Amino acid sequence: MSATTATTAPDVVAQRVAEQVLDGHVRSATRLITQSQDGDPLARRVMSLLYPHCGRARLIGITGPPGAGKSTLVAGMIGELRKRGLTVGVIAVDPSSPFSGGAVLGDRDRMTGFSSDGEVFIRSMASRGAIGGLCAVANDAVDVMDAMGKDVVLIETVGVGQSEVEIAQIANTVVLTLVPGYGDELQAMKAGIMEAADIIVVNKADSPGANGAVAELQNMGYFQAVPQGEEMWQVPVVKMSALRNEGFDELEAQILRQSEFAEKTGWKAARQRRRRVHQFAEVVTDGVRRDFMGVMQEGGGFNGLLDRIEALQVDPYAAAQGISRRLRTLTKDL
Amino acid sequence: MSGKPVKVLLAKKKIDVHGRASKLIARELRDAGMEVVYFRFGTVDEIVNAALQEDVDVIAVSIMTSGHLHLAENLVPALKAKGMNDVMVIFGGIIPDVDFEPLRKMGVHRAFPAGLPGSVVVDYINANVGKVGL
Ligand SMILES: Nc1nc2c(ncn2[C@@H]2O[C@H](COP(=O)(O)OP(=O)(O)O)[C@@H](O)[C@H]2O)c(=O)[nH]1
Ligand SMILES: [Mg+2]
Repeated sequence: MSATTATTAPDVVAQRVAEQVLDGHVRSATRLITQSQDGDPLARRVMSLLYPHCGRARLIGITGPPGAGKSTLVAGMIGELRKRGLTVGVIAVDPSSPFSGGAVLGDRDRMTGFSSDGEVFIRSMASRGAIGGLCAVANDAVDVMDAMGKDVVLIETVGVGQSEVEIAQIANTVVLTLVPGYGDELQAMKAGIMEAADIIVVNKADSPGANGAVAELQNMGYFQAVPQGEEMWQVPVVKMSALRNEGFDELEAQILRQSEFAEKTGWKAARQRRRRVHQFAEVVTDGVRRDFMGVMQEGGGFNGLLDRIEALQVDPYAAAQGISRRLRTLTKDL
Repeated sequence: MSGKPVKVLLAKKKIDVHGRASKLIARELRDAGMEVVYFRFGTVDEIVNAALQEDVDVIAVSIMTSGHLHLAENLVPALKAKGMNDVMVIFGGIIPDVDFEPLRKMGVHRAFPAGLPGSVVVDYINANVGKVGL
């Protein structure tokens, strides 16, 4: 790992892949995202090399119930951003089937019209159902696009589960997309979804009930607390029709306003820190968990501890305490 | 490769009104554990670009009208030009038997007639993914 040891072949490969990604090479970047999702060790080496180059892209999360028009909205945003000469990456996450593990990824189908534009990179991903794991993979995918030099990375997730909400929170700005008559859908979604929203879009304003929905959401008055300081961010409600290309100016204005506010108040920095701390904690706990399971699978048995648990001589909680204590001592010395 | 889901680009011609067959096959591939990017295309470049960006193992083109020979003739060289030599290309839909051999010669790994049970396609993909090249 250290620079002083002789360079090994995997390091050479990792170095080459990292350079290609930094050069904006789509094939290398998309492969890297696949390898990260598949848990390929090479991906970890490359990600380490890319890490210092991250943090430049503006990250915008688009979440909301299925069918709200998120992908259509993303397509409209790509168009607007390209008009301004900004380069765009899109990560579109759709849920995997809990039964087969497979997935139908339908977001890309709504984002056509950019295939001859080399500055637009759209990558669909299946959630693969792993709690925490999804976030890790999304973090890597965002970092890859960031390191490639994309000015803006749009992250589309369905706002149905905890991990999707967490992914949305990777972003600098979270846009919650609802439609008129959103009430039932809100109930079906994770309660935390409203708390994640920095901007609420009422999409499909071309259908009846949009004005009522906007007024209702405005009256509820959602706020985001900023870590330090007394100022609160009042979540704006934007009426749009992504299909008719209406409301994008207002959305852009609100995103810019939120960005400036977040920058000025230190909110942006706090969120970025939270993202990385969270990522770090996930990686550590995931690693510990895997190591632990590995020892058990190899029949390690922890000096007969497992046998005694099995024989009902020690209960799992008491046994775990001993291990936790040793872990605590270990981490304190770090 | 085992354990990692196979990723398929299911490309359906935009002007083909019959979306049912391709949606059905999308579901069957999903139920077999595959990750399917469902996508309607207008041009060959759109397929190539989507396959490249999505890092798929398989490109499955659904054709319900004519034009498959012309498409294959352009698609395979375009994929090779982008260095995608390890992707599997299959066609399915209303394709006359006499065209199977010409398609194969153009580099399409396999063509499936319409109305086949999805399991035939699934079995073919599982048996050959990662082993064929253009
Ligand atoms: N009437 C109307 N339909 C829309 C609008 N935006 C999206 N849709 C339609 O809603 C459906 C779902 O859109 P999609 O973008 O895939 O939603 P997602 O599941 O949230 O990504 C599609 O049929 C879209 O054409 C809109 O502003 N107005
Ligand atoms: Mg979508």
